[in-house]
Amino acid sequence: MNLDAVIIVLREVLEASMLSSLLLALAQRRQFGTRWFIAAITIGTVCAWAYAEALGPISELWDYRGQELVNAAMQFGICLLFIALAAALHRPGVQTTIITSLMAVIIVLALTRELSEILLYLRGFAFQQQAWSAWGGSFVGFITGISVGIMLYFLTLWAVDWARAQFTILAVLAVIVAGLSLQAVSLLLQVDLLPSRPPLWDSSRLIPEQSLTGQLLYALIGYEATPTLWHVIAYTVVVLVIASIIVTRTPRQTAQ
Amino acid sequence: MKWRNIGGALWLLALGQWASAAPLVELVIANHVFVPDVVEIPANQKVRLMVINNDATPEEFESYELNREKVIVGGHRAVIFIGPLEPGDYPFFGEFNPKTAQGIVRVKGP
Repeated sequence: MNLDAVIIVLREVLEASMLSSLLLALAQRRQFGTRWFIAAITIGTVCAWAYAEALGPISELWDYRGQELVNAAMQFGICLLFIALAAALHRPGVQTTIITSLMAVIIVLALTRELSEILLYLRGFAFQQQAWSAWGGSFVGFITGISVGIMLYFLTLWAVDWARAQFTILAVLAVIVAGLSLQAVSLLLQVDLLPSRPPLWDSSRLIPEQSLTGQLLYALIGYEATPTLWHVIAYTVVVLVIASIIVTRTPRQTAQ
Repeated sequence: MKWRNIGGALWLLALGQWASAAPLVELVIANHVFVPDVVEIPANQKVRLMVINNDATPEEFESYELNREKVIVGGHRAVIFIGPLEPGDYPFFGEFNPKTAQGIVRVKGP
C-alpha cells in the first residue's frame, strides 16, 4: 500500500472531518436536526468537484495569484464565520436557522478546500494501470480521517456535562480554525501579497514538517516549523477573539 | 471623499506591490519530472518561479525548506514567489509523484 497516499488523503480529510463532526455534535445537542448538515455535505462535495475542475483557469487569474487568493479567502472566511457562530451560540434569542446556516457554510468552505485537493490527487493516477497501491492508500487515508470524525462526534455527544463539553468543542474548533488562518498567511506570503519576513523560530529539528507528527499537526493546528511574525499575529488574533467570546460569555443551555 | 482617497491610495499600493518585478525563473514539469532539477537563483533576492506543468495530470509543488505548496493543474502554469534566501540548497518535490519529481533551488552568493 502507498503510504504517501495515506498521508496526503488523511491530512486533507482530517481537518474537514473534525470540523464537520464537532459542528454536527453541537447542533445535535441543541436539537437543530440534521437536514442542514446533509445539505452542507452535498453542496460542499459539489463545490469541491467544481473547484477542482476550474482550478487551472482560477490559478492563472490575477497574475497567477488566483489559487492562493481564493484559498486564503475561504480560510479567512471560515475564521470569520466561526467567530460569528461562537458569538451566536452565546447570545440568547438568535434564530436556529442563522446558527445552522453559519455551520453549513463553514462545512461547505472546508469541504470545497480539502476535498478538491483530494479529487485532483486522485485524478493524477485515476487512469494509470497498476495504481491499486495508490487507490488503496487513498481509501485507507479517507476512511481513517472519517473514522476520527465519527469517533469525536460520539465522544462529544455522550458527554454528560454539556456546558463543559460545549466549551471544549468550541475550544478545539478554535484551535483548528486558528490553524487555518496560519495556512492563509502562508498563501499570501507565497504570492507576495504580504512582505516576506524571516522566521521567528525554527522547530524543524524538534518536529520536522515532513514527519507524520508534523503533517498531522499541520492538519490539526496548522503547524509551521518556521513561522514568521505574520503567522504569529494571525494565530494570536484569531485565538484571542474566539477565547474572549467563549470564556467571557455564559453558554446558553436550552435548545431553541 | 476622504474614504475614496484612502481607497485609491491602497489600490495604488496594491498595484505597486503586484507590479514589483522580481526576476522570473522557469521550471517545467514533464513526465512527472522537474526540468531543470536544479534551479539557481541569486542570494538575498526575491524570485518569481514560473512552474509550467506540461503533463496531463496535476502536480503539487511542495517544499518544507521554502515553506511553499501549490497545486499546478495539468496543462497549466503557476507562479510561486521565493526568497529572499541565504545561500544554500533548498529541496522541493512533487507531492503527487514524490519518487520522480525532485529538485533543488540552489541559492548562490554574490
